[in-house]
Amino acid sequence: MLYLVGNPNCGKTTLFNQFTGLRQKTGNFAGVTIEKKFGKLKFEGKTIQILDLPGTTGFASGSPEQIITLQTLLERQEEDRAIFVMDGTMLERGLLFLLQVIELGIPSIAIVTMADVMNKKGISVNLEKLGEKLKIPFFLTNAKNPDNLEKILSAIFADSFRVGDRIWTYAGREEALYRKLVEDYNINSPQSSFVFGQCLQKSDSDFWDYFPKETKIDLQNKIAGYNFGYEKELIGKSLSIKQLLSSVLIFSPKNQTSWEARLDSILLHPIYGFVAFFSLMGLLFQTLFNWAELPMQWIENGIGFLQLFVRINLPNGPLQELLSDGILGGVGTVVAFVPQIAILFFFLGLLEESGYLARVSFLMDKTMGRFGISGKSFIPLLSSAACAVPAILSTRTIESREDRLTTILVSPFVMCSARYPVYILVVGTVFPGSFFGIFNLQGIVLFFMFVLGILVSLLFALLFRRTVLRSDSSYFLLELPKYLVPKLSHVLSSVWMKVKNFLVSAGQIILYVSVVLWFLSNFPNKSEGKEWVKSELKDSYAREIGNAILPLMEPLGFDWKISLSLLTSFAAREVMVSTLAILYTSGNDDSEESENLRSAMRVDRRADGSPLWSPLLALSLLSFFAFASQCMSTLAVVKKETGSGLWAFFQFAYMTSFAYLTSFAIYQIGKALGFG
Amino acid sequence: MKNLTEIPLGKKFLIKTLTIQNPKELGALLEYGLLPGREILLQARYPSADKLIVRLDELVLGMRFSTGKQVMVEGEFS
Repeated sequence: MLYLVGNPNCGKTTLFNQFTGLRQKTGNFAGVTIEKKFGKLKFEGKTIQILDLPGTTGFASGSPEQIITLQTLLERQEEDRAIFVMDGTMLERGLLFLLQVIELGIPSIAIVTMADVMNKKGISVNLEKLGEKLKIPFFLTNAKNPDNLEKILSAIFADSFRVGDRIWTYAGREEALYRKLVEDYNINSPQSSFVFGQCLQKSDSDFWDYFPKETKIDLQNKIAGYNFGYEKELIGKSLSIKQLLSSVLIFSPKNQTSWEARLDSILLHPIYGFVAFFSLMGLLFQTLFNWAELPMQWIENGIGFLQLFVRINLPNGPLQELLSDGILGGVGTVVAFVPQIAILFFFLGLLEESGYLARVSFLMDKTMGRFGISGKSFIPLLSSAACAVPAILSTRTIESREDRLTTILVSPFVMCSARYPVYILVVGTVFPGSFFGIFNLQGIVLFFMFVLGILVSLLFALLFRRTVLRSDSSYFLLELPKYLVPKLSHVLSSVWMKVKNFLVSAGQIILYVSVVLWFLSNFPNKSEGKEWVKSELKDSYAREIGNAILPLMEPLGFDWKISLSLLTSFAAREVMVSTLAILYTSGNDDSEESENLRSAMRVDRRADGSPLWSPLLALSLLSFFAFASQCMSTLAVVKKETGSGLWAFFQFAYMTSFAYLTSFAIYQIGKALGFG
Repeated sequence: MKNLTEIPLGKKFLIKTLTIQNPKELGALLEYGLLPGREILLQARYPSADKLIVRLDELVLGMRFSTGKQVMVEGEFS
């Protein structure tokens, strides 16, 4: 097994993708890789397994990604090897971590990335000499447009990996004692040296358990009065690195690029920074509607054509109805929203690649602090706008347990892509094509829902931090990455992967539910003789189920169709749209008139003749959808990340109760005020 | 000894010693390279939010420390 090890945001995953041909997520901010990722490296007919480990700066903080990396390296097999990746523009930081990895005794090679940026900044390093000093081979490359890839692969498959040298020493009398203890206690193997080093750092380290009790007491007595702390160790290493670099760094780096600092002064400014961020997000939601309109129309026309094709070419009967109204009608309605979801992913991809995301996190730190969490929680919250599952995984970079747990519990409030089809359908039905000046009303409502999701998540964060998850305020330390022009192929590839995932994972559930829903809304069979006659919707099984849950949902303003749609949306949020599509299609005998779901919804009436889809109903439904916990994948990942099903249950219970109460209050108060 | 926030903006400062109460925060700062012998440059300071942007050569760090846990540094301007 080959391990890819290195600092956050040094280009490890980009290199991993180059090696394996896979398309793992990359981004220009720290903490993109939070899980181990496997791949296969093939060269000249041979194959090696390769594992991309989460990036870290060291092993001191004990954060989840540090633990994963350290444990993997400690529990390795003898034949395993490591590729250490470091950003060539930040060699001191990279080498500081490399010296820690060298102590683990794993045979390694080192790859210095960002060759193009180094060149621009005038940084040049004698890697041959650096390799000689550390006793491991070094290679230079540019992860995005790889140079030397053939040379690196040859070295990997020729097993050019070497165990590096401990080039650093403790300052002062500690080094003499260290050497004596290593000799006296016969600490020869690299692993035992690492364990010994960890023990020296902390008297309460778990690593002391590796020693027999008598040896432990004896050693602790001998080191009493000496300072082997982590600070001392890092200072020793830093001094050695300075000496090392003075002999291999051929040109000193040029000063910082002034345009980057100027851009930071605007984007990180307490006022201009917020204006820039909210303008950008507002623009995003306007664009979602404007740019996606035409491709959505194409998809809808395409699905309409397929439905017509099925109706013309298949004889009347259950199979024709199932294919046309059940599968194409149900799944097709959700597929039509792919352009909007793709545009959302495209924008988020641009933010991730440009280096802006980490800056928003810094900008938001004070605001987040008022709600008891740090700016580090903002990246997961913003990432939830695509999907809460990777967002919850990304909380692993948050050091404080309470901050992390709070962020996990509140992230699903942020509007995710699965909610978009529902919001767009509801908003488009109730507020058709209105404009406020140049702004599309639907875009404004969507932006409002996004801001509402963030606000509610922050309010609950504050509640949790003041009650069940109390702790001291945590610190905030985050690398602000270099600004980079996003590479279009990377962003488009990431969009494609996410859209594919949306279609495959959500699409499967939508397909199954559509088939079941079609059955429930067209049966029991009313056939008399040979010709199949579908059940009227009012006599169908679907109506019976809808009626059964109606007493619970009626106070929120929902009729039986909406209630049944909400019930099915607990399988996946998007299913609500396909459910409504099937129910409205089945409810109308004239299929031409019900072809457009929105039109069918607009003409739907309550028993008293008033329109069902009123603005008040829309508000009630939107708020239920905004706040309810309706995603099984999210609950599964919460259980995994918190290590307890209790937190997942708690999240489901509090979010869904809050959703119900909010919808209830909105509808009942609205009705009392005469808006019903 | 002075507070890290008191260093003038835009002037390179050579760290001789660095202290902070919280060991976790100290460990994180050291791992990022705020070590004796390193030159830092304070790029921006936001007093109302106690936030700083510190540059170590090409590395740009955004930082805020937990309440009451200020970073004290000793060193000289270069």
